[in-house]
Amino acid sequence: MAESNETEIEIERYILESMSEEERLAFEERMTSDPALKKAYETTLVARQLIKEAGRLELRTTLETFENEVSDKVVTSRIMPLWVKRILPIAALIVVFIGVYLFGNFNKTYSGDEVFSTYYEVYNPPSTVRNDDGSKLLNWETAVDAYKNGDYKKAFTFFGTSEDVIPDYIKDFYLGVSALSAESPNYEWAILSFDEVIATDNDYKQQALWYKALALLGKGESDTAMILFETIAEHGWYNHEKAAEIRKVKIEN
Amino acid sequence: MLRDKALKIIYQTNREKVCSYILSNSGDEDEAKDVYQESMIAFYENVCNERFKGDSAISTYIYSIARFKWLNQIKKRGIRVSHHMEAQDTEEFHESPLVKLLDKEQQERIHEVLATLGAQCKKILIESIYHNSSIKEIAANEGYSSEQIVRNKKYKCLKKLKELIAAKPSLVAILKGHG
Repeated sequence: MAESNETEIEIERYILESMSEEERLAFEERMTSDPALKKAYETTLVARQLIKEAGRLELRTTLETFENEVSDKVVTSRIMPLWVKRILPIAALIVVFIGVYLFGNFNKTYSGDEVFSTYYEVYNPPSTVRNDDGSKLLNWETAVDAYKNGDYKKAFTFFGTSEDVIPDYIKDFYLGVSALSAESPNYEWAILSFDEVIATDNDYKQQALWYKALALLGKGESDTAMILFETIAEHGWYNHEKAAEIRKVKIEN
Repeated sequence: MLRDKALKIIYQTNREKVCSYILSNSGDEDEAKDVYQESMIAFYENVCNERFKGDSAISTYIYSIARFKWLNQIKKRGIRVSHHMEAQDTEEFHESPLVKLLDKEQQERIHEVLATLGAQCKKILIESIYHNSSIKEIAANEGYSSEQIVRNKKYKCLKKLKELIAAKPSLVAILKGHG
């Protein structure tokens, strides 16, 4: 029996128990007399089971990213010494002062590169993730270690070949940041990677917008960058205060 | 995605309570995390297939699943479960298919099939079959211009998946055993 969409729809309705009693009995009757239909039904059951397992694995990966965020917060709060906590507000004031001094009070024009260098900061490294059996995700772990050690070229290579269980948007985000953090930033690659992140709704979307705007500045596309900074500032997204500061700066094209 | 945001809030809100319970009942941190994540998955699946109807608070429900799973796990290990611990096992969580994840090798075989299937097919089928999303929701979220396109694509993908599975009898055995 050739399997048509109609057959598949019928099988699905039977599996989901959305047939009437009459339809259900007729379908079961047909299965007893049509081995091809019975076989199609059985394979559909297996296919659905495979998809459920795949969905479950995907969900587990998502939960693992939540877990890492929780762990990162715990680690950060644990390792921050008291003197750092005390000095943080003062340090923040100094940064604001430098920002105002550099860009606020002088009617000078700056290059995109200068603004990029002033505002660019490497994003916090991701956490290492393990498989369910505790084994390592080798490429991901190598990428994360290289990133932590400032070897962004190596990080870029290994983020690009990371294991499938890591969601694409996380890989793409760190590919972008690695491309920007390298000794000679590759703005093109960074923008392409951030575009991939921005294309879907995910937890790194706002960060990717900020870094894309910076990458555009570095690349010399300050007009497009300014539109993004404006969007970020207006929506109150990630680094919106800095985006608002940059908007006040005169940048040469 | 809204679903991920909701899950994240639920995950972060309930994590400490569940993990503290496991840690204070012979579990270590890895076990606490694993049981908690499996309980979250069971909770999510029960929401999708309408087994969880909101009769109890989400936190109570997740906690009950985790406690049920943890008690089973330590009983299997031969650790004596105190009467007090069992008596605490609340009524909110009744029989439900418990999540048992596939081992690494089985996972790899599934990933192989999915890689051959392609990202778009994988997305549509997981959304439809695992997350129970309607064709309308998939069309809107994934940017398809019509529901009919998604419907056709879904059945085309399902057909392709069935062909791939038919070529791997050992995979059929794994999945039947795990169903």
